[in-house]
Amino acid sequence: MKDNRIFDKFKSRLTAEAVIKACLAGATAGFIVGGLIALICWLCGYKAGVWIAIGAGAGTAVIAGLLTYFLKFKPSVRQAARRVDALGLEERAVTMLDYEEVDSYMASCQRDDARAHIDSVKASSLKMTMPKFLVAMTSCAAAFGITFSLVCGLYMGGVVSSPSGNVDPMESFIEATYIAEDGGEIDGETDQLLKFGEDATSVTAVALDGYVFVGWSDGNKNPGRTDLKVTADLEVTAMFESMNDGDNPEDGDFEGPGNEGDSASDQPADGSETDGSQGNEGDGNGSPGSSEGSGNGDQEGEGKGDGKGDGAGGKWSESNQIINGEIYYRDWLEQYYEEAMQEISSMDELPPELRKFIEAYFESV
Amino acid sequence: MATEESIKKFSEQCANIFKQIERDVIGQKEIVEGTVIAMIAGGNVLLEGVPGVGKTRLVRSLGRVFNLPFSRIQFTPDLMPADVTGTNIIVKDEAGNTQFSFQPGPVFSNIILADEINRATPKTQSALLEAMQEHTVTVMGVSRKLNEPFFVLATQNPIEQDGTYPLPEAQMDRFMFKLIVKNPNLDELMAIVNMTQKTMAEVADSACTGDELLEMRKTANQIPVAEDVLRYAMTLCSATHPDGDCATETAKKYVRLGASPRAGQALISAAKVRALMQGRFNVSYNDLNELAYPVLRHRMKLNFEAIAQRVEPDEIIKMIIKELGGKKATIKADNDEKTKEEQQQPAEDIDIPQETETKKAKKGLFGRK
Repeated sequence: MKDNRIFDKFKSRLTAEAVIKACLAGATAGFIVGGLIALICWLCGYKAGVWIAIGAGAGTAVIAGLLTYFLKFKPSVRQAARRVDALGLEERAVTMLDYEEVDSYMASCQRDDARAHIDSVKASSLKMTMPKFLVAMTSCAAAFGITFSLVCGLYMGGVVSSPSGNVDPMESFIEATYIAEDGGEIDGETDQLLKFGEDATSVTAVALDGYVFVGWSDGNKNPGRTDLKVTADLEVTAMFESMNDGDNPEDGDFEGPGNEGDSASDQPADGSETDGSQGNEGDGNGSPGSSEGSGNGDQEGEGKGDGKGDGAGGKWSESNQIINGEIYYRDWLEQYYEEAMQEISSMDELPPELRKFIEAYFESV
Repeated sequence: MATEESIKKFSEQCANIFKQIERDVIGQKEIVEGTVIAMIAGGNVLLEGVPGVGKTRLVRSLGRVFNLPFSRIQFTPDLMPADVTGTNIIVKDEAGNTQFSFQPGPVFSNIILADEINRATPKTQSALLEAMQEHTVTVMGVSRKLNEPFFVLATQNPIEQDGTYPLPEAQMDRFMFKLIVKNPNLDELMAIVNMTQKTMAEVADSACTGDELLEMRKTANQIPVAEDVLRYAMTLCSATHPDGDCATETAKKYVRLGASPRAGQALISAAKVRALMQGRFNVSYNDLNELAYPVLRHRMKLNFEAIAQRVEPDEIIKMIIKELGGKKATIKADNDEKTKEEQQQPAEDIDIPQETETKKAKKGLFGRK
């Protein structure tokens, strides 16, 4: 006679205990795997690692939990018998299982005796027990996994850095370097550390006495420049020429740093170069002050100067742009800006939109 | 084949045996129970104790209670093997012819009291080897079977060691139990003195015959033993070996030679009897742990470290049981509170009063320290 049904009343508790044990075992495996992945990703400087770690950890926990439950912790009848015997039944239950097929009077007496004792035991008296080793392992694994997942998460958030030194491209710093050749200097911060896509601060190339600014090494002719949305290292050199060298200023073929052109555009063409002020490329003949802008909104302006200045080699410019190596175009601009603003103010008949547009234009200049 | 009647008879006879022995022997319940268990299981017993604690009286009472022929051999250094086994003597028959005739020695009895067995020479001690194990005696090439049931109940004095010959390992191994007979406590002493002042006569009556004892042995042998329990018993014996697979740290530290396979046989046989005496139909871990002391204490050869540190065999057995996982059974001899907390006590809602009382009564069984 099979007496296995007699243990059914203990099954729910034993199953619950087995499930908890399997959960602990699965959690241990999950935390270890997740923690290791997070650790490796952090060491390698891979920011998305925290999500991989969480996913892998959760997957491992589920698989390990299921495996350990079905392969190890799932309570068998014999285990139930052992647990019941531990309640003080003095091995009656396991003996009953071993001798359930034996057809002797003594075995029959033993079964009856065991059944009577097992019936007298309440299911609630079977206490759930958790192996200390498993609990300790789970705690350690949880500490390990949570710690390194947290570290990886903080690394992703930019709070901590990776010990390997690998820096995410999005978080790398970009160096903008402005160098002045002989004969001039840079007004502003020459070495700038920028984040990816950040705007550089404005710098101005200032020629010394006897020198004239001829342009930047990247082709920009405007002495003042503000590099916007820089995404790569930038190194440009301001070039100057002595006013005593080169062609005779009388030739008037100086291609000066005109401020003419369509400087109305202050938007970079590709979002990563310069503002509109540096897109002015004067093609005049040294008298940019009287140039007439005909901008079309593009970065590259087209100045049509009709000045009669001395050009690059000139010692004086009608536009007050270059005097003894000093650049006065700002004053020039400010003067005309104020005049323009006064004219605009007096022109009451202008519609507000147009007025606003013109004011914005001049402010940008 | 055990029947309901045989089981019932077993219980009645056990109760009657103890009742009759109590009439002659005051106290020493553990020793009495151990001796009776060994006799039912078919084993020999070595009683060790100082003089005057009732060893010889107990053995005589057992002979009366079991209604079996009883022989007493006082072992002395000049005792010869033939004095134990018997010898061939030359006799003349009715026709006047001389011939050898075997004169049986005192060993040809059912219960042998080998008093102060360690005072005889090893040669004489060895005369009992065959009788104790095979229950036969061979003299002049002729083997003679001893009467069944056959028991050797030997005594020895642990104090006076001058002029003694410690029993060899082979001889010790043939004793199922070695029981330590302690001095009686104050109440027992008063009862002993009161009783002996009236009369020294032994008044125990017969409780069962030899055939009934053999029947009780057959009944007890049919007690089932679960595989887990059997494995634990063998592990317990193997754990006494310092170099075995199951060697415990305690055995490695203190034991030079562990228990023989006879220990395992004795442990299971005795555990079956003990279980049935307690009204159980199966052997428990508790039975094994209780019986491990009398079964193993004389089968372990301690090493120098144990002797130098005065570590007793019972302490070693206690440590081995603990090392094997004391949770499996209630180790009653362990007075350590910490160990008691680790033991799994019966749940409150389990009502097994007779066993709980029995456990209390068996506390300190077999004279363990």
